[in-house]
Amino acid sequence: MSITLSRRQLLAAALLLPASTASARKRGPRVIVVGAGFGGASCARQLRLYLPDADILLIDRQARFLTGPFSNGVIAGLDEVAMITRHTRDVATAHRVRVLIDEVVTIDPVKREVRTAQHGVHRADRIVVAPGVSMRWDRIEGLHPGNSDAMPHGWLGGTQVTGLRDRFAALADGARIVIAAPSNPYRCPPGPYERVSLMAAALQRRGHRNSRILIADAKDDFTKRALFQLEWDRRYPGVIEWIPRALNGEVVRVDTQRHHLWLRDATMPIQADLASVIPAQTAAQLAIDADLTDETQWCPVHPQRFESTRHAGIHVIGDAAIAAPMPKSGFAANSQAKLCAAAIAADLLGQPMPQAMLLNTCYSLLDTDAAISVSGYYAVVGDRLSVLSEGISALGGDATQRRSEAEQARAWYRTITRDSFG
Amino acid sequence: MAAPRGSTSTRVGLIQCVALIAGVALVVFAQPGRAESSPPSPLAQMCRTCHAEAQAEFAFGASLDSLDANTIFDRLRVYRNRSDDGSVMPRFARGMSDQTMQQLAAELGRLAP
Repeated sequence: MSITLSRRQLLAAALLLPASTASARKRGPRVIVVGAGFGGASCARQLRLYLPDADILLIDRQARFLTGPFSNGVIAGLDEVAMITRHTRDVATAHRVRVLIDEVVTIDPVKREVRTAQHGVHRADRIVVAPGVSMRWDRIEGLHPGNSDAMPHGWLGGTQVTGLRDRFAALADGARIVIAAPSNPYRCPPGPYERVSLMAAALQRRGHRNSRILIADAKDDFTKRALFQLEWDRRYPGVIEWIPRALNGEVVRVDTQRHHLWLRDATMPIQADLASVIPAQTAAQLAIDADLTDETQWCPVHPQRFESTRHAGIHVIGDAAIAAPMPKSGFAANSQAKLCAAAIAADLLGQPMPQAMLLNTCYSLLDTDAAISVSGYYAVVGDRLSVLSEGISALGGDATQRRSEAEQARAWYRTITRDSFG
Repeated sequence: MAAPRGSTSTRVGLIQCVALIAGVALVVFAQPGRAESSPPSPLAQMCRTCHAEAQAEFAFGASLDSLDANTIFDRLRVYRNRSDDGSVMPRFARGMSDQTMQQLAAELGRLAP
Protein backbone atom coordinates (compact mmCIF):
# COMPACT_ATOMS: atom_id res chain seq x y z
CA MET A 1 0.00 0.00 0.00
CA SER A 2 1.34 3.38 -0.87
CA ILE A 3 0.53 6.63 0.79
CA THR A 4 0.41 9.69 -1.34
CA LEU A 5 0.90 12.90 0.54
CA SER A 6 1.70 16.26 -0.77
CA ARG A 7 4.71 18.04 0.55
CA ARG A 8 2.39 20.56 2.20
CA GLN A 9 0.51 17.78 4.02
CA LEU A 10 3.75 16.23 5.25
CA LEU A 11 5.03 19.57 6.46
CA ALA A 12 1.75 20.25 8.21
CA ALA A 13 1.92 16.84 9.90
CA ALA A 14 5.46 17.51 11.05
CA LEU A 15 4.53 20.89 12.45
CA LEU A 16 1.51 19.48 14.23
CA LEU A 17 3.54 16.74 15.90
CA PRO A 18 4.96 18.77 18.77
CA ALA A 19 1.53 20.06 19.69
CA SER A 20 -0.18 16.67 19.50
CA THR A 21 2.63 14.90 21.37
CA ALA A 22 2.66 17.57 24.01
CA SER A 23 -1.10 17.25 24.26
CA ALA A 24 -0.83 13.48 24.73
CA ARG A 25 1.88 13.87 27.30
CA LYS A 26 -0.12 16.55 29.04
CA ARG A 27 -3.13 14.28 29.06
CA GLY A 28 -1.04 11.34 30.31
CA PRO A 29 -2.59 8.49 32.24
CA ARG A 30 -5.61 9.22 34.39
CA VAL A 31 -5.58 8.01 37.98
CA ILE A 32 -8.40 8.56 40.45
CA VAL A 33 -7.75 8.30 44.16
CA VAL A 34 -10.83 7.82 46.32
CA GLY A 35 -10.35 8.99 49.90
CA ALA A 36 -8.04 11.76 51.10
CA GLY A 37 -6.84 10.27 54.38
CA PHE A 38 -3.27 9.24 55.12
CA GLY A 39 -3.35 6.58 52.38
CA GLY A 40 -5.18 8.46 49.64
CA ALA A 41 -3.52 11.84 50.05
CA SER A 42 -0.06 10.26 50.25
CA CYS A 43 -0.75 8.18 47.17
CA ALA A 44 -1.84 11.24 45.19
CA ARG A 45 1.40 12.94 46.15
CA GLN A 46 3.53 9.97 45.17
CA LEU A 47 1.69 9.52 41.89
CA ARG A 48 2.52 13.10 40.99
CA LEU A 49 6.16 12.37 41.78
CA TYR A 50 6.33 9.18 39.71
CA LEU A 51 3.97 10.30 36.93
CA PRO A 52 4.59 14.03 36.35
CA ASP A 53 2.28 14.10 33.33
CA ALA A 54 -0.62 12.16 34.80
CA ASP A 55 -4.06 13.55 35.42
CA ILE A 56 -4.53 12.75 39.12
CA LEU A 57 -7.92 13.33 40.68
CA LEU A 58 -8.34 12.96 44.45
CA ILE A 59 -11.96 12.67 45.62
CA ASP A 60 -13.25 12.94 49.17
CA ARG A 61 -16.65 13.89 50.53
CA GLN A 62 -15.18 15.91 53.39
CA ALA A 63 -13.65 19.34 52.89
CA ARG A 64 -12.38 19.27 56.46
CA PHE A 65 -11.60 16.33 58.70
CA LEU A 66 -9.92 15.32 61.93
CA THR A 67 -7.05 12.84 61.88
CA GLY A 68 -7.29 9.64 63.90
CA PRO A 69 -3.74 9.94 65.26
CA PHE A 70 -3.69 12.31 68.24
CA SER A 71 -7.49 12.43 68.39
CA ASN A 72 -7.33 10.72 71.79
CA GLY A 73 -5.37 13.68 73.12
CA VAL A 74 -8.15 15.97 71.92
CA ILE A 75 -10.84 13.74 73.47
CA ALA A 76 -9.02 13.81 76.81
CA GLY A 77 -8.74 17.61 76.58
CA LEU A 78 -4.94 17.50 76.43
CA ASP A 79 -4.56 18.68 72.82
CA GLU A 80 -6.41 21.29 70.76
CA VAL A 81 -8.72 20.19 67.98
CA ALA A 82 -6.94 22.56 65.60
CA MET A 83 -3.88 20.34 65.87
CA ILE A 84 -5.65 17.41 64.23
CA THR A 85 -7.74 19.39 61.74
CA ARG A 86 -6.87 19.06 58.07
CA HIS A 87 -8.40 20.57 54.93
CA THR A 88 -8.72 18.40 51.85
CA ARG A 89 -8.17 21.28 49.41
CA ASP A 90 -4.73 21.89 50.90
CA VAL A 91 -3.67 18.60 49.33
CA ALA A 92 -4.36 20.01 45.85
CA THR A 93 -1.96 22.88 46.34
CA ALA A 94 0.70 20.90 48.14
CA HIS A 95 0.77 17.92 45.81
CA ARG A 96 -0.33 19.52 42.50
CA VAL A 97 -3.29 17.22 41.97
CA ARG A 98 -6.93 17.93 41.24
CA VAL A 99 -9.19 17.64 44.27
CA LEU A 100 -12.92 17.11 44.15
CA ILE A 101 -15.05 17.46 47.26
CA ASP A 102 -17.95 15.18 46.50
CA GLU A 103 -19.53 11.94 47.65
CA VAL A 104 -18.47 8.87 45.71
CA VAL A 105 -21.70 7.03 45.03
CA THR A 106 -20.39 4.00 43.16
CA ILE A 107 -17.18 2.56 41.79
CA ASP A 108 -17.43 0.34 38.72
CA PRO A 109 -14.28 -1.78 39.00
CA VAL A 110 -14.69 -3.29 35.53
CA LYS A 111 -15.21 -0.08 33.59
CA ARG A 112 -12.90 1.75 36.00
CA GLU A 113 -15.44 4.47 36.59
CA VAL A 114 -16.22 6.49 39.66
CA ARG A 115 -19.61 8.14 39.98
CA THR A 116 -19.97 11.06 42.36
CA ALA A 117 -23.15 12.63 43.65
CA GLN A 118 -22.64 16.06 42.12
CA HIS A 119 -20.21 15.61 39.26
CA GLY A 120 -21.26 12.51 37.34
CA VAL A 121 -18.96 9.78 36.07
CA HIS A 122 -15.16 9.94 36.06
CA ARG A 123 -13.15 7.39 34.08
CA ALA A 124 -9.59 6.39 34.82
CA ASP A 125 -6.76 4.12 33.75
CA ARG A 126 -6.22 3.17 37.38
CA ILE A 127 -8.28 3.73 40.51
CA VAL A 128 -6.80 3.77 44.00
CA VAL A 129 -9.39 3.16 46.69
CA ALA A 130 -8.53 4.34 50.20
CA PRO A 131 -11.95 4.61 51.81
CA GLY A 132 -11.16 3.61 55.39
CA VAL A 133 -13.55 1.60 57.51
CA SER A 134 -17.25 1.30 58.28
CA MET A 135 -18.73 0.30 61.61
CA ARG A 136 -20.52 -3.01 62.00
CA TRP A 137 -23.85 -2.14 63.54
CA ASP A 138 -25.03 -5.75 63.70
CA ARG A 139 -22.84 -6.85 66.59
CA ILE A 140 -24.19 -4.89 69.55
CA GLU A 141 -27.91 -5.02 70.21
CA GLY A 142 -29.46 -1.61 70.63
CA LEU A 143 -26.63 0.32 68.99
CA HIS A 144 -27.08 1.87 65.56
CA PRO A 145 -25.89 4.95 63.65
CA GLY A 146 -28.90 6.92 64.83
CA ASN A 147 -28.07 6.63 68.54
CA SER A 148 -24.30 6.12 68.45
CA ASP A 149 -23.72 9.74 69.47
CA ALA A 150 -24.99 8.78 72.93
CA MET A 151 -22.09 6.35 73.29
CA PRO A 152 -19.69 7.92 70.79
CA HIS A 153 -16.92 5.89 69.26
CA GLY A 154 -15.06 8.99 68.08
CA TRP A 155 -13.26 6.70 65.67
CA LEU A 156 -13.96 8.23 62.28
CA GLY A 157 -12.77 11.77 62.79
CA GLY A 158 -16.22 13.38 62.72
CA THR A 159 -18.21 15.36 65.23
CA GLN A 160 -18.13 12.46 67.67
CA VAL A 161 -14.53 13.38 68.54
CA THR A 162 -15.50 16.79 69.88
CA GLY A 163 -18.77 15.43 71.27
CA LEU A 164 -16.88 12.84 73.30
CA ARG A 165 -14.37 15.46 74.40
CA ASP A 166 -17.13 17.75 75.68
CA ARG A 167 -18.87 14.98 77.59
CA PHE A 168 -15.62 13.78 79.12
CA ALA A 169 -14.82 17.33 80.20
CA ALA A 170 -18.19 17.60 81.95
CA LEU A 171 -17.73 14.51 84.14
CA ALA A 172 -17.62 14.95 87.90
CA ASP A 173 -15.25 13.12 90.22
CA GLY A 174 -16.48 9.60 90.89
CA ALA A 175 -17.62 9.02 87.32
CA ARG A 176 -17.62 5.57 85.77
CA ILE A 177 -16.32 5.56 82.21
CA VAL A 178 -16.70 2.51 79.98
CA ILE A 179 -14.61 2.07 76.84
CA ALA A 180 -15.83 -0.82 74.69
CA ALA A 181 -12.94 -2.12 72.56
CA PRO A 182 -13.74 -4.05 69.36
CA SER A 183 -12.64 -7.43 68.06
CA ASN A 184 -9.82 -7.63 65.52
CA PRO A 185 -9.17 -6.38 62.91
CA TYR A 186 -9.93 -2.69 63.28
CA ARG A 187 -8.45 0.74 62.69
CA CYS A 188 -5.65 1.74 65.08
CA PRO A 189 -5.20 -1.35 67.28
CA PRO A 190 -3.68 0.48 70.29
CA GLY A 191 -6.19 3.34 70.03
CA PRO A 192 -8.70 2.26 72.71
CA TYR A 193 -5.89 1.74 75.23
CA GLU A 194 -4.24 5.05 74.42
CA ARG A 195 -7.63 6.68 74.91
CA VAL A 196 -7.93 5.11 78.34
CA SER A 197 -4.39 6.20 79.26
CA LEU A 198 -4.95 9.81 78.28
CA MET A 199 -8.34 9.95 79.98
CA ALA A 200 -6.67 8.66 83.17
CA ALA A 201 -3.97 11.31 82.81
CA ALA A 202 -6.59 14.02 82.41
CA LEU A 203 -8.58 12.78 85.42
CA GLN A 204 -5.38 12.83 87.47
CA ARG A 205 -4.74 16.44 86.46
CA ARG A 206 -8.27 17.37 87.47
CA GLY A 207 -7.80 15.71 90.84
CA HIS A 208 -10.56 13.18 90.19
CA ARG A 209 -9.36 10.42 92.49
CA ASN A 210 -12.62 8.51 92.57
CA SER A 211 -13.30 8.18 88.85
CA ARG A 212 -12.79 4.79 87.25
CA ILE A 213 -12.33 3.55 83.68
CA LEU A 214 -13.50 0.12 82.63
CA ILE A 215 -12.32 -1.44 79.37
CA ALA A 216 -14.87 -3.96 78.14
CA ASP A 217 -12.98 -5.87 75.50
CA ALA A 218 -14.19 -8.14 72.70
CA LYS A 219 -10.78 -9.83 72.56
CA ASP A 220 -8.34 -11.47 74.93
CA ASP A 221 -5.20 -9.60 74.06
CA PHE A 222 -4.14 -6.31 72.54
CA THR A 223 -1.01 -4.71 71.14
CA LYS A 224 1.57 -3.58 73.71
CA ARG A 225 -0.63 -5.02 76.49
CA ALA A 226 2.18 -5.75 78.95
CA LEU A 227 3.54 -2.22 78.49
CA PHE A 228 0.16 -0.57 78.85
CA GLN A 229 -0.75 -2.52 81.96
CA LEU A 230 2.61 -1.93 83.59
CA GLU A 231 2.37 1.80 82.96
CA TRP A 232 -1.26 1.96 84.11
CA ASP A 233 -0.22 0.37 87.41
CA ARG A 234 2.67 2.82 87.75
CA ARG A 235 0.89 5.97 86.75
CA TYR A 236 -2.79 5.44 87.47
CA PRO A 237 -3.04 2.71 90.12
CA GLY A 238 -6.54 1.41 90.68
CA VAL A 239 -8.09 3.66 88.01
CA ILE A 240 -8.22 1.32 85.01
CA GLU A 241 -9.77 -2.14 84.86
CA TRP A 242 -9.56 -4.37 81.76
CA ILE A 243 -12.08 -7.18 81.23
CA PRO A 244 -11.06 -9.51 78.38
CA ARG A 245 -13.46 -11.49 76.26
CA ALA A 246 -12.60 -14.69 78.15
CA LEU A 247 -14.07 -13.07 81.25
CA ASN A 248 -17.16 -12.02 79.30
CA GLY A 249 -15.82 -8.54 78.63
CA GLU A 250 -17.51 -8.15 75.25
CA VAL A 251 -20.35 -5.62 75.14
CA VAL A 252 -23.31 -7.34 73.49
CA ARG A 253 -26.19 -4.95 74.22
CA VAL A 254 -26.69 -1.31 75.12
CA ASP A 255 -29.48 1.01 76.17
CA THR A 256 -28.20 4.38 75.06
CA GLN A 257 -30.97 6.34 76.82
CA ARG A 258 -30.27 4.83 80.22
CA HIS A 259 -26.50 4.57 79.61
CA HIS A 260 -26.61 0.85 80.26
CA LEU A 261 -24.21 -1.73 78.78
CA TRP A 262 -24.54 -5.50 79.05
CA LEU A 263 -21.48 -7.69 78.90
CA ARG A 264 -21.79 -11.22 77.53
CA ASP A 265 -23.77 -13.51 79.85
CA ALA A 266 -24.42 -10.66 82.28
CA THR A 267 -27.87 -10.45 83.82
CA MET A 268 -27.40 -6.93 85.12
CA PRO A 269 -26.20 -3.96 83.04
CA ILE A 270 -23.30 -1.69 83.83
CA GLN A 271 -24.37 1.88 84.48
CA ALA A 272 -21.93 4.29 82.83
CA ASP A 273 -21.63 8.03 83.28
CA LEU A 274 -19.85 8.05 79.95
CA ALA A 275 -19.54 5.19 77.48
CA SER A 276 -17.46 5.17 74.32
CA VAL A 277 -18.46 2.12 72.32
CA ILE A 278 -16.13 1.35 69.43
CA PRO A 279 -17.93 -1.20 67.23
CA ALA A 280 -16.33 -3.96 65.21
CA GLN A 281 -15.38 -2.80 61.74
CA THR A 282 -15.28 -3.72 58.06
CA ALA A 283 -13.83 -2.09 54.99
CA ALA A 284 -15.84 1.01 54.13
CA GLN A 285 -19.25 0.26 52.65
CA LEU A 286 -18.13 1.84 49.38
CA ALA A 287 -15.52 -0.90 48.96
CA ILE A 288 -18.06 -3.60 49.79
CA ASP A 289 -20.52 -2.19 47.24
CA ALA A 290 -17.74 -2.07 44.63
CA ASP A 291 -17.12 -5.81 44.98
CA LEU A 292 -13.64 -5.24 46.36
CA THR A 293 -14.14 -7.27 49.55
CA ASP A 294 -14.10 -11.00 50.21
CA GLU A 295 -16.06 -13.00 52.80
CA THR A 296 -14.17 -11.23 55.61
CA GLN A 297 -15.56 -7.90 54.38
CA TRP A 298 -12.03 -6.57 53.91
CA CYS A 299 -10.27 -6.05 50.58
CA PRO A 300 -7.78 -8.71 49.43
CA VAL A 301 -4.81 -7.29 47.53
CA HIS A 302 -1.61 -8.41 45.87
CA PRO A 303 0.85 -7.00 48.40
CA GLN A 304 3.50 -6.41 45.73
CA ARG A 305 1.44 -3.54 44.33
CA PHE A 306 -1.70 -3.33 46.51
CA GLU A 307 -3.83 -4.14 43.52
CA SER A 308 -7.17 -5.81 44.21
CA THR A 309 -7.14 -9.57 43.69
CA ARG A 310 -10.74 -9.23 42.55
CA HIS A 311 -10.42 -6.50 39.92
CA ALA A 312 -7.34 -5.60 37.88
CA GLY A 313 -6.49 -1.93 37.71
CA ILE A 314 -8.13 -1.19 41.05
CA HIS A 315 -5.80 -0.71 44.00
CA VAL A 316 -6.82 -0.68 47.66
CA ILE A 317 -4.61 0.82 50.35
CA GLY A 318 -4.93 1.74 54.01
CA ASP A 319 -7.37 0.43 56.57
CA ALA A 320 -9.70 -1.22 54.04
CA ALA A 321 -6.98 -3.51 52.64
CA ILE A 322 -6.02 -6.92 53.98
CA ALA A 323 -2.37 -6.21 54.71
CA ALA A 324 -1.69 -8.30 57.80
CA PRO A 325 0.73 -8.52 59.52
CA MET A 326 0.75 -4.74 59.08
CA PRO A 327 -1.70 -3.05 61.43
CA LYS A 328 -4.34 -0.64 60.20
CA SER A 329 -2.57 2.63 60.95
CA GLY A 330 -1.86 6.01 59.40
CA PHE A 331 1.84 5.14 59.10
CA ALA A 332 1.00 1.83 57.37
CA ALA A 333 -1.37 3.58 54.96
CA ASN A 334 1.31 6.15 54.11
CA SER A 335 3.85 3.38 53.44
CA GLN A 336 1.41 1.39 51.33
CA ALA A 337 0.58 4.53 49.35
CA LYS A 338 4.24 4.98 48.43
CA LEU A 339 4.59 1.39 47.25
CA CYS A 340 1.27 1.42 45.43
CA ALA A 341 2.03 4.65 43.55
CA ALA A 342 5.44 3.36 42.49
CA ALA A 343 3.89 0.09 41.31
CA ILE A 344 1.19 1.88 39.30
CA ALA A 345 3.80 4.10 37.68
CA ALA A 346 6.03 1.13 36.88
CA ASP A 347 3.12 -0.68 35.30
CA LEU A 348 2.01 2.29 33.22
CA LEU A 349 5.55 3.10 32.11
CA GLY A 350 6.52 -0.50 31.41
CA GLN A 351 9.24 -0.48 34.05
CA PRO A 352 10.19 -3.19 36.59
CA MET A 353 8.02 -3.41 39.70
CA PRO A 354 9.52 -1.76 42.80
CA GLN A 355 10.76 -3.87 45.67
CA ALA A 356 7.87 -4.36 48.07
CA MET A 357 9.23 -3.27 51.43
CA LEU A 358 7.15 -1.43 53.97
CA LEU A 359 7.58 0.26 57.35
CA ASN A 360 5.24 0.99 60.21
CA THR A 361 5.39 2.41 63.72
CA CYS A 362 2.45 2.88 66.07
CA TYR A 363 3.11 5.30 68.91
CA SER A 364 0.77 5.37 71.88
CA LEU A 365 0.75 8.17 74.40
CA LEU A 366 0.47 7.24 78.06
CA ASP A 367 0.45 10.91 79.05
CA THR A 368 1.39 14.09 77.26
CA ASP A 369 5.06 13.47 78.05
CA ALA A 370 5.25 9.67 77.88
CA ALA A 371 4.77 7.21 75.06
CA ILE A 372 5.46 3.66 73.96
CA SER A 373 5.66 2.25 70.45
CA VAL A 374 5.78 -0.82 68.28
CA SER A 375 7.46 -0.96 64.86
CA GLY A 376 7.73 -3.39 62.00
CA TYR A 377 9.67 -3.77 58.75
CA TYR A 378 7.83 -5.85 56.17
CA ALA A 379 8.49 -7.35 52.76
CA VAL A 380 6.70 -9.58 50.32
CA VAL A 381 8.06 -13.11 50.60
CA GLY A 382 6.56 -15.40 47.99
CA ASP A 383 3.19 -13.78 47.52
CA ARG A 384 2.64 -12.84 51.16
CA LEU A 385 3.52 -9.86 53.26
CA SER A 386 5.89 -10.95 56.04
CA VAL A 387 7.61 -9.38 59.02
CA LEU A 388 11.36 -9.05 58.50
CA SER A 389 11.96 -7.40 61.86
CA GLU A 390 9.92 -5.78 64.56
CA GLY A 391 10.27 -4.39 68.04
CA ILE A 392 8.49 -2.78 70.92
CA SER A 393 9.47 -0.30 73.63
CA ALA A 394 11.37 -1.86 76.50
CA LEU A 395 9.19 -3.05 79.34
CA GLY A 396 11.71 -1.66 81.80
CA GLY A 397 11.98 1.70 80.06
CA ASP A 398 12.47 4.66 82.39
CA ALA A 399 10.85 8.08 82.37
CA THR A 400 13.53 9.48 80.09
CA GLN A 401 12.85 6.84 77.45
CA ARG A 402 9.11 7.34 77.69
CA ARG A 403 9.58 11.09 77.35
CA SER A 404 11.84 10.62 74.36
CA GLU A 405 9.21 8.44 72.68
CA ALA A 406 6.55 11.08 73.34
CA GLU A 407 8.75 13.62 71.56
CA GLN A 408 9.26 11.16 68.72
CA ALA A 409 5.51 10.59 68.51
CA ARG A 410 4.79 14.31 68.16
CA ALA A 411 7.61 14.73 65.64
CA TRP A 412 6.28 11.75 63.68
CA TYR A 413 2.81 13.30 63.64
CA ARG A 414 4.17 16.59 62.31
CA THR A 415 6.19 14.92 59.56
CA ILE A 416 3.64 12.36 58.45
CA THR A 417 0.82 14.89 58.26
CA ARG A 418 3.04 17.24 56.30
CA ASP A 419 4.12 14.40 54.02
CA SER A 420 0.53 13.25 53.50
CA PHE A 421 -1.48 16.47 53.42
CA GLY A 422 1.07 19.19 52.74
CA MET B 1 5.08 2.96 -16.73
CA ALA B 2 5.75 6.61 -16.24
CA ALA B 3 5.90 7.77 -12.72
CA PRO B 4 3.20 10.17 -11.68
CA ARG B 5 4.25 13.75 -11.78
CA GLY B 6 5.82 14.94 -8.58
CA SER B 7 6.28 11.48 -6.97
CA THR B 8 10.09 11.69 -6.79
CA SER B 9 10.01 15.00 -5.03
CA THR B 10 7.36 13.63 -2.67
CA ARG B 11 9.64 10.71 -1.76
CA VAL B 12 12.44 13.13 -1.00
CA GLY B 13 10.03 15.22 1.04
CA LEU B 14 8.91 12.11 2.91
CA ILE B 15 12.47 11.34 3.96
CA GLN B 16 13.00 14.92 5.04
CA CYS B 17 9.79 14.93 7.00
CA VAL B 18 10.54 11.64 8.71
CA ALA B 19 13.85 13.12 9.76
CA LEU B 20 12.08 16.26 10.91
CA ILE B 21 9.52 14.26 12.88
CA ALA B 22 12.28 12.21 14.52
CA GLY B 23 14.14 15.37 15.40
CA VAL B 24 11.08 17.01 16.87
CA ALA B 25 10.28 13.86 18.84
CA LEU B 26 13.80 13.84 20.25
CA VAL B 27 13.46 17.45 21.36
CA VAL B 28 10.04 16.82 22.88
CA PHE B 29 10.95 13.69 24.80
CA ALA B 30 14.52 14.44 25.77
CA GLN B 31 13.69 16.94 28.49
CA PRO B 32 16.32 17.73 31.08
CA GLY B 33 16.07 15.52 34.12
CA ARG B 34 13.64 13.12 32.54
CA ALA B 35 15.88 10.08 32.48
CA GLU B 36 18.62 10.79 34.96
CA SER B 37 16.58 11.88 37.98
CA SER B 38 14.22 9.02 38.65
CA PRO B 39 12.36 9.44 41.96
CA PRO B 40 13.59 7.55 45.02
CA SER B 41 12.29 4.03 45.64
CA PRO B 42 9.27 3.55 47.93
CA LEU B 43 11.47 2.45 50.84
CA ALA B 44 13.70 5.51 50.45
CA GLN B 45 10.57 7.66 50.31
CA MET B 46 9.42 6.09 53.58
CA CYS B 47 12.75 7.03 55.19
CA ARG B 48 12.41 10.56 53.86
CA THR B 49 8.96 10.96 55.35
CA CYS B 50 10.72 11.72 58.63
CA HIS B 51 14.30 12.39 57.56
CA ALA B 52 14.24 14.70 54.53
CA GLU B 53 15.68 18.19 54.74
CA ALA B 54 12.26 19.62 54.06
CA GLN B 55 11.04 17.89 57.22
CA ALA B 56 14.04 18.89 59.35
CA GLU B 57 12.30 21.59 61.35
CA PHE B 58 9.47 19.20 62.18
CA ALA B 59 11.37 15.97 62.68
CA PHE B 60 12.86 14.24 65.68
CA GLY B 61 15.63 12.51 63.74
CA ALA B 62 18.42 13.83 61.56
CA SER B 63 18.03 14.86 57.95
CA LEU B 64 19.52 12.33 55.57
CA ASP B 65 19.97 14.82 52.79
CA SER B 66 23.37 15.99 53.99
CA LEU B 67 24.80 12.50 54.55
CA ASP B 68 26.79 10.54 52.00
CA ALA B 69 26.11 6.88 51.20
CA ASN B 70 28.95 5.52 53.34
CA THR B 71 27.79 7.42 56.40
CA ILE B 72 24.20 6.24 55.94
CA PHE B 73 25.33 2.65 55.46
CA ASP B 74 27.54 2.81 58.58
CA ARG B 75 24.70 4.23 60.66
CA LEU B 76 22.29 1.57 59.48
CA ARG B 77 24.78 -1.13 60.47
CA VAL B 78 25.18 0.44 63.91
CA TYR B 79 21.40 0.41 64.32
CA ARG B 80 21.24 -3.20 63.20
CA ASN B 81 23.81 -4.23 65.80
CA ARG B 82 22.07 -2.51 68.69
CA SER B 83 20.39 -4.99 70.99
CA ASP B 84 17.90 -2.61 72.63
CA ASP B 85 14.47 -1.64 71.34
CA GLY B 86 14.72 1.87 72.77
CA SER B 87 13.96 3.60 69.51
CA VAL B 88 12.48 2.88 66.14
CA MET B 89 15.54 2.61 63.89
CA PRO B 90 17.09 -0.56 65.39
CA ARG B 91 13.74 -2.34 64.93
CA PHE B 92 13.76 -1.50 61.22
CA ALA B 93 17.46 -2.11 60.63
CA ARG B 94 17.54 -5.57 62.21
CA GLY B 95 15.63 -7.00 59.26
CA MET B 96 17.76 -5.37 56.58
CA SER B 97 20.40 -7.32 54.70
CA ASP B 98 23.72 -5.73 53.78
CA GLN B 99 22.48 -5.55 50.21
CA THR B 100 19.30 -3.72 51.15
CA MET B 101 21.28 -1.30 53.32
CA GLN B 102 23.77 -0.66 50.53
CA GLN B 103 21.03 -0.01 47.98
CA LEU B 104 19.17 2.25 50.37
CA ALA B 105 22.30 4.12 51.43
CA ALA B 106 23.40 4.59 47.82
CA GLU B 107 20.02 5.93 46.86
CA LEU B 108 19.70 8.28 49.82
CA GLY B 109 23.35 9.29 49.53
CA ARG B 110 22.80 10.51 45.97
CA LEU B 111 20.59 13.22 47.43
CA ALA B 112 23.49 14.71 49.37
CA PRO B 113 24.58 18.10 48.01
